[in-house]
Amino acid sequence: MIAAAPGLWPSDARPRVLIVDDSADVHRLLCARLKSEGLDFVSALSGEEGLRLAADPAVLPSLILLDMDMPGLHGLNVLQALKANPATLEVPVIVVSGNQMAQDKVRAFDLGAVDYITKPFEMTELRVRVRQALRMRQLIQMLAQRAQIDGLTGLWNRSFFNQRWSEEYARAARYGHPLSVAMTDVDHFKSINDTYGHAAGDVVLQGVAKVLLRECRQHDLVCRYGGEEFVIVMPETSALDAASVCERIRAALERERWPRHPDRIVTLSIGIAGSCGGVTLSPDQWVEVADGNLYGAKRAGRNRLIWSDVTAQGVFPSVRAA
Amino acid sequence: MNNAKRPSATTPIVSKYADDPEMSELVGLFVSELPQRTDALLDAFRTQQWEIVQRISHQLKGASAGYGFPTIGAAAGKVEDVVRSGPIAESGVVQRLDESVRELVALCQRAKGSHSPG
Repeated sequence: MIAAAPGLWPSDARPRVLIVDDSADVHRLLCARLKSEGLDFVSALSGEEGLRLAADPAVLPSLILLDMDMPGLHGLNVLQALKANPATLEVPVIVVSGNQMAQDKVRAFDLGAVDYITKPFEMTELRVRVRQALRMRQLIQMLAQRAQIDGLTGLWNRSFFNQRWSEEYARAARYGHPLSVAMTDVDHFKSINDTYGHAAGDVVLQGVAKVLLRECRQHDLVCRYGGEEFVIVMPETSALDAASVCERIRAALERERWPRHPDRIVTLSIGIAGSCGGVTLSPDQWVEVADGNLYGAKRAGRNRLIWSDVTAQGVFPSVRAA
Repeated sequence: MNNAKRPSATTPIVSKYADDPEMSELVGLFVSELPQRTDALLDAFRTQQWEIVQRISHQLKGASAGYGFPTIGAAAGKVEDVVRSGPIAESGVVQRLDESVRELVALCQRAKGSHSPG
């Protein structure tokens, strides 16, 4: 079975709960009573501190328990700010308040709270509601990620590539970091399908995905681009280094033996566009250069790679495998 | 006629969670900090710092039941309600606030974290 795309399941072994309440007694109480749920806690004694911690990448809460009536920033304002910030928008918020007025509950739900618990709270009920909010969050995350996974190969799909490529491009452009992208295509895939059938073609695509995952490095992003095409994003990698990674992939796939058809060799053509830093092309143009190199590799006889430095268009065909 | 035994004004109020191993230590801490809070509450009342009166009573209302003292929580809620009910300057309100603060302080003074004698 092909390994799932990296990060498919959230690494929430111990979900972190941010408690925002001006009463230290409430913090101690919640920590003691929710300890058995296997949670980690972060405490904020004001709305302002809560907002800062919620958006801190080192904290990344899975759930926020938010008091309403606090000196300074009121809980509803905190909730509004959390939902206006893309970094905290998705974090579920349970309001824990002494205020039992229906209009406050309605307002909190309208602003995006997932639940509203009134103080004094009943501990068994609180535990169940916390559990429920965390379960819902995990399900939503799983659904969102599944929508970005290719069902056949378990790799990220094209939609995820589009999103991540834009992000990696923006980061490389801002900081002048190296970045490469490789477009790959299985050689003679139509003939595999025609000769052995579509089921065998699917097995080949799964096998290619497995080789790509095995030969790529931890921070490379491997996606199925569509059909028999795959794309690899290689952050912090120059075109020359990307060519070295891709040559390893090309050679590994060529060595791969297919149990049901041991005589059949499956190969890849690869086109790479990379930069040592400094961006002159748009993200789409960059992919077009990689695509152009891929078709150059096809025209030159397949089972090879061609790479270009997008800041100094050079072409370096790989040694063709025996 | 009601023959039920009524708690006197000096009967200790023992936390519902006195025997709960998960809570006993925290309840002890909560009780040990109550004198500080009642002092601060009385001080704020005497100096007419109504916002502080409201803040302390609000916090006690929210936490007391969780530490096994629902009567203290309810009494704190009464203080908060009076502060929120209208202009404190009105004599009737001040008197009601005085009574509710005294009741809350008296209850806090009877709070005990365990069954063992003081």
